[in-house]
Amino acid sequence: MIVLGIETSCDETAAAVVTGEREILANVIATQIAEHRPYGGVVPEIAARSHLAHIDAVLRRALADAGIGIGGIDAVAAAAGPGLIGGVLVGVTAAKAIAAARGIPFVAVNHLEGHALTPRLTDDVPFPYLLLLTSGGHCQSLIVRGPGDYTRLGTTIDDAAGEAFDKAAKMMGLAYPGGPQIERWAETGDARRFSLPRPMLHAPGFDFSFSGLKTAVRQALDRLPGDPTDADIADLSASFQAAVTETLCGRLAPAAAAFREACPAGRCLVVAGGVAANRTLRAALETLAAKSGLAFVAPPIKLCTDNGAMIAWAGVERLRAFGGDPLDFKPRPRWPLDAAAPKARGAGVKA
Amino acid sequence: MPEQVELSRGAVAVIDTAGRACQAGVFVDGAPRAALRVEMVHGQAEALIPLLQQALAEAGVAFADLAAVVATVGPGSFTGLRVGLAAAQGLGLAADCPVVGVSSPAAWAMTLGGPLRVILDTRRGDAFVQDFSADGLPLAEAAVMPLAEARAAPEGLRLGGDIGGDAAPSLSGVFAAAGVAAHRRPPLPAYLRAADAVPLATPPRCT
Repeated sequence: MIVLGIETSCDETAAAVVTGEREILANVIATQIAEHRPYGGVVPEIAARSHLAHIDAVLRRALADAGIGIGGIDAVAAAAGPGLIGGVLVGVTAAKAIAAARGIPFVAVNHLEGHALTPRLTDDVPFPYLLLLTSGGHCQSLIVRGPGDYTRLGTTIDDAAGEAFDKAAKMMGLAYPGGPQIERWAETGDARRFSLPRPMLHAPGFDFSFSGLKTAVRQALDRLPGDPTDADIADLSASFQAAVTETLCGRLAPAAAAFREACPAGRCLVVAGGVAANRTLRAALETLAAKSGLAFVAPPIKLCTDNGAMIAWAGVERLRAFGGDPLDFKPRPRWPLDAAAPKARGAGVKA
Repeated sequence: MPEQVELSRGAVAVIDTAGRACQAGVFVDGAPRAALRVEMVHGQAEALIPLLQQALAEAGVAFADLAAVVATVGPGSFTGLRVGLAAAQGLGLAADCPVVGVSSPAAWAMTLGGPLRVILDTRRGDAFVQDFSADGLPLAEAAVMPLAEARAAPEGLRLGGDIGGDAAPSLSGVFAAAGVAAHRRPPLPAYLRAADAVPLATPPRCT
């Protein structure tokens, strides 16, 4: 089985070709970072324009890289939400048109499920596993039992971790996206210089919170005698990165224990999503996994940030489990992985 | 190049989602074989592809036999244009045929006949406006202006477009406009405004 996967839910126009045997034949990503950077974040209207301007070239490039024509594609999958609807519409509609014209199945993929199933594409991780899904729009711990079968343990009650990186970076005058910027500045910084909170570390349950951390960054900047120096930025970046890492790991540790209890056969802790590209976090999660008696799996960084391969692979898994989706499928700007999970306090759309 | 695409021979799929309708049709050797139209403001993302399948089935044409795809490029509905043009591009790729964009005001001019001023409601309190001669050629570039100003047309031009209550041009109008080189466009939206966004006051610091 060869599946074409399309991802247009945020600020990357991406397409990939993946086989049912877990081979990535092509993985093309046209990033819009330069288009959004002057505005300090993703501008939905600019993203929606850009996806339509680039989708055709990205699709053709993916087919060329894979060395196959459109006739060699057995199914086409597209991220159909959650995300910015103006972009989602572009990828979904192009995918439906291709499916209709070729008479092949269309698969509407939940973008989060693309991230969630990536460790099965890269490392063939067996179900069930514990997943930390952490990105610019989401921050959740989940038990993954199979395609479409998720139990949410914890979720953020305010900002996502990646959102906290972006907002802290913006306050420090750093460019968008904030995660890679803070990670680079943190390399030369002193993580102990600024005392930042570890929100909800001892609260019951497994939920996350990053809003207070963001406020603490603001206050730390306000207390500086003047404009922040390079050393201030480096130290605050390191302190912030340490606080996010400890918060994520601190909330995930009891979730790991709960996972071991619920799924004694479960063997792996997996991290996915754009924040999983952060090396300090990956190292800390590896330690946490070892302490929890779990193997740690983190996909390559290029497959942690948004990409088409994860959508194509989720398409493979969903096609095997459920078959395709109808061509009148309505894209879903909000689409939780675990629809049965109770609404988290204050969580809004990020749950 | 779209300029050279011959539309009067073979099967051509025609898509219009720039206005308050979802439309899909098929023309064979220049004659209409299917023209489907469902009036709607929202919901084109769900409706368009099944409508297109129905149009091809009614026309007895297979997707693989399409010689070209025509789609309106606006100016018009922001969301509708994402749907229509992404579908047209996907079809062009999958059926390996050229995609021809066509100006929406020109499609209206071909639908209603000139001389006229085409006025399209932007749904933001103003209007897209373009004037056309008796033979349906543009007298000026399309522009955005307040509705009241738009209604004060130069002498000799009647008013047309969606302000009269019609939801969209006819598919025959779209197809006819696509046959005129002056009305052809690349298959990308025609924007008359920049994106609604304000740049940061201070340029960010990069590593």
